[in-house]
Amino acid sequence: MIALLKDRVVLGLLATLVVLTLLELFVYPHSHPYFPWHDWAGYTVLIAIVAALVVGWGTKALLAPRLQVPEETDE
Amino acid sequence: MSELLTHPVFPFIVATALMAVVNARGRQVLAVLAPIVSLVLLLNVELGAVWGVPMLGLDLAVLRLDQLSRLFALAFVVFALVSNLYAWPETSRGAKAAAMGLGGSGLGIVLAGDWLTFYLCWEWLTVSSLFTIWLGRDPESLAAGMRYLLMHLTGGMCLLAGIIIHLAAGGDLITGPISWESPGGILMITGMAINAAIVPLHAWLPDSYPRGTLFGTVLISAFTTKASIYALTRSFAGTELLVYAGCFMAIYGVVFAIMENNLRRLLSYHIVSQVGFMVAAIGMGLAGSKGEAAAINGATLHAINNIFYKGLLLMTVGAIIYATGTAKLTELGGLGKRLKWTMVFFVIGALSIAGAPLFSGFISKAFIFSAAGYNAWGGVEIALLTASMGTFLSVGLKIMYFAFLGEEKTPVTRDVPLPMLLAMASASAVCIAIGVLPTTFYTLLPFETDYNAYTGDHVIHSLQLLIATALGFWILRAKLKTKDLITRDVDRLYRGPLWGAVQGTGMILAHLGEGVRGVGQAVIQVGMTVLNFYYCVRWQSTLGYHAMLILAAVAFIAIAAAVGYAMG
Repeated sequence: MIALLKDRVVLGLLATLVVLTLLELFVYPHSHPYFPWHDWAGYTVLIAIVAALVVGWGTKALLAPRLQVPEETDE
Repeated sequence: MSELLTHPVFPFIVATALMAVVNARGRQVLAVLAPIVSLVLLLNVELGAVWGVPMLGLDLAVLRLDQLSRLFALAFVVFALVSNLYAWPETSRGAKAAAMGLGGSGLGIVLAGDWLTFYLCWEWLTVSSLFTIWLGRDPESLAAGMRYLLMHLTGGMCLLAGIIIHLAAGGDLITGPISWESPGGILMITGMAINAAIVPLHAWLPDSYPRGTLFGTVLISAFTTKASIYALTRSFAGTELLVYAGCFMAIYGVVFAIMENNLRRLLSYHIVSQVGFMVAAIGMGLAGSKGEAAAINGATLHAINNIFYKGLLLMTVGAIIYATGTAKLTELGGLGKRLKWTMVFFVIGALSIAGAPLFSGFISKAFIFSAAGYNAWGGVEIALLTASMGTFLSVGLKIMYFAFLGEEKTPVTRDVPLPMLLAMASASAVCIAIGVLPTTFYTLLPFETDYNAYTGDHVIHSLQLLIATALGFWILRAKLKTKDLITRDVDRLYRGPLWGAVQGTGMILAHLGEGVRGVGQAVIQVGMTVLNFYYCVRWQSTLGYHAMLILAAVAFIAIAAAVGYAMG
């Protein structure tokens, strides 16, 4: 985790997300909140990061070893 | 009857026939000329026109131009032009004839005003796609083509049976809304679901698309699933089942795309995912509901956008294969240095599919998310946001990072020809035009709208999604690196048992008396004849393609006669 926080790319992306969330909070709140989570600033960030980690990691770690095979052994 | 000569499909029919006789340069010119002539004819048809043709006691409506059919027809013709420009280096008779067939049949489906004309064009599309896959000319292409044929014949039979039951029950011959809970409706929606690659009926798509010719796959990807989206919008809008199916396939597609190593298979799974967005939106388009306009406008605009940005992505991948000879991510890297323009066009396609502001996908996804809001489908919003994340992760970031950046692995051995670059530039221009000037295109949508996608909160949410996904990718990038493996899909569950069932049935028959053995021998004879025909068309593709079209036309006349007789 500490190594991640030293990564310039990670820091740059995090800083951009903070700025965007502050903009959402103070300048551009949700114009038509249909669902309860539309009132929470940064909900899109939360969904995207959780989805990226769950779907990205879950697919590669859990599904890929079970579904992927070498081409020559397939048929 | 003379109107038929000015039907927008007519130039494609003429071009299909002429491909058998003109020389290579003539074929190249004809393939670009036919869509241009078709576009001119289409623009001369008045909105609201219905062209009836009496045939065998039936009043067939061979053309009906309303808002919905005009939108799809324009997109199909323009994309046929762009993709045939891209396919300029391809000169084989079979490929060019099949390309004309794809354009003509796709256009025929969306312009058809009655179910029989619709069905004829539907099967013409199947035959044209099949030959485009077989023209890959390797054992895998032939096998994938046969699987494609089996699935689509099943779908076609479901559709035909559904149409006949629908008509026998007193239903209208003119295409329109149908309840999926009626006996005819359930068969028709099943036939359309197979063509739309709705999970779990989707396996033919990632199986066959990567096997087609480099140029032909671009065309198939635009017409097959999108023709089904048109049909579902026309007949089954507001079917709740489609909302669940759409959300599931949107996520399913990206999950498989994350695992894929072959670029064309990866993009094929993205077609499944993107069609999921459209299917879910169609399901939310219940007539009279508050979200109907947003849902149907969203579904149709997303289909049109998808034709161009997915076509563009397949074109850029085709350019990579053309230049390097490989489609495997594990064998690619550092292409950005040699294929600069291809990379630029890829980025435009990737940002469009990801729904980035100023690109086409942003507008259509905004419509769909609004429809989910109007109809209080909170789960749909979460599912489609997850799918959007997966789309950017596996296309915009994964392909960009592993294929275009880093060290060169497979050298670029030839430059991408100018017509291919021009075609990619044209598709890119459409993606940007719809993203930057969306209201210009609103007049083409099925429902009138003054929707503003560019509100501050929409733009911020979109940027948050993209940047948070980029963060997730960066953290997981080592894990997301692909391996030289292929991914087993649901078709593995039935391929083996199906083959076993066929063999088992044969063995049982062989042990039953002389009479049954006679039947078995007859079946083998028929099988051998089909097999001979299969090998005949394998090497005589042009001849085979035209022969199949003639057979299909004869079959259509027979079916029309039977339906006409049944309806008195």
